[in-house]
Amino acid sequence: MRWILRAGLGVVLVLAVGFAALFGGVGPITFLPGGVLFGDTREPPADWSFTDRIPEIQVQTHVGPLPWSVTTWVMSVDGSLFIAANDCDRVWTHRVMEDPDIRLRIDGVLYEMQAHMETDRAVGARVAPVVLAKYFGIATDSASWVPGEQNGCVFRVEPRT
Amino acid sequence: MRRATRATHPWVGLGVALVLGCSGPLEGERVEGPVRDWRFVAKAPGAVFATASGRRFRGVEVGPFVHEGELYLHAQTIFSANDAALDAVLAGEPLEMQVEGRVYPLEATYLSEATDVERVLPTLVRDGMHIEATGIRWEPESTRYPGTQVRQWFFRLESAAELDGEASAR
Repeated sequence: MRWILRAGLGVVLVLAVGFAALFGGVGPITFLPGGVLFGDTREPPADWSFTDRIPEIQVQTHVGPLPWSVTTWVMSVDGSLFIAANDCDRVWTHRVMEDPDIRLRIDGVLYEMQAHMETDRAVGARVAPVVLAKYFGIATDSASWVPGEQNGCVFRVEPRT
Repeated sequence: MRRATRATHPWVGLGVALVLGCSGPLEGERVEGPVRDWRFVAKAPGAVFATASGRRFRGVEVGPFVHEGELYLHAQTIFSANDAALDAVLAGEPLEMQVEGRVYPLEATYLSEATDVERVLPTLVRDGMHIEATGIRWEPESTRYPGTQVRQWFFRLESAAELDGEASAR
């Protein structure tokens, strides 16, 4: 029986250290969420096309009083900024829908922003070709999401008002 | 030494249980005969893939799609390009697919030619990504988006029995 206790304590210790590391500034890492994002804060630029060469960024929202950050995709369309989730039923997407204030970390730089879920199909038709080209190497003449078949969602990101 | 062995046994057991619990051959009624039309796979939810030796895909996300009745597999990186099951399939190990409670032994052929990939892309984009698109082209080396693409692999999948039959006929 003693080994079960030791194994349990070991698992708890590993989880506690991992949790403290992730939420203490190490995270988010790949699919694991993190806490507060650290970095130099700058004013948002008018043109976000420099993100075309950046595959992933970090987004910080909150769960209750606790900071909650994730890694996700970023798209620039005609200078405007969008972030995407391939599954809209995530903790961070629900939190952003409730409170649009977010912090973005792009290339180590923090931006105080707001995110609003995009439901306009015309805007989706501008974002979908970018997702295909940027992340899947698929060029298209035109592309738009099929209504009602998508699990994912896209957020337009703008400076806080 | 004896003390160390006694202390190690539970950890080894736990590790073995975890490994066995997450791998091993797929279970279900085995379909050994050839399958000519795979369209039922496109409508069936939750297909599971493993190599013939029971390895599951961990570092890549795999999904089937059906183009003109033929079965294809799309694999893409999740967080690492290293995946033992993918390496095994690329090296020629047969695959198995579990769908609707049945297990289909398969042979996988890697699509190395851009023209082969481009031919099936419209189906992947429409059925796998739920995007209606026109003018679809395969451009994995984009100059506008350098180094942002996920790594991807495309395979044509055929019944192992079908290929065995063709070999016998020859």
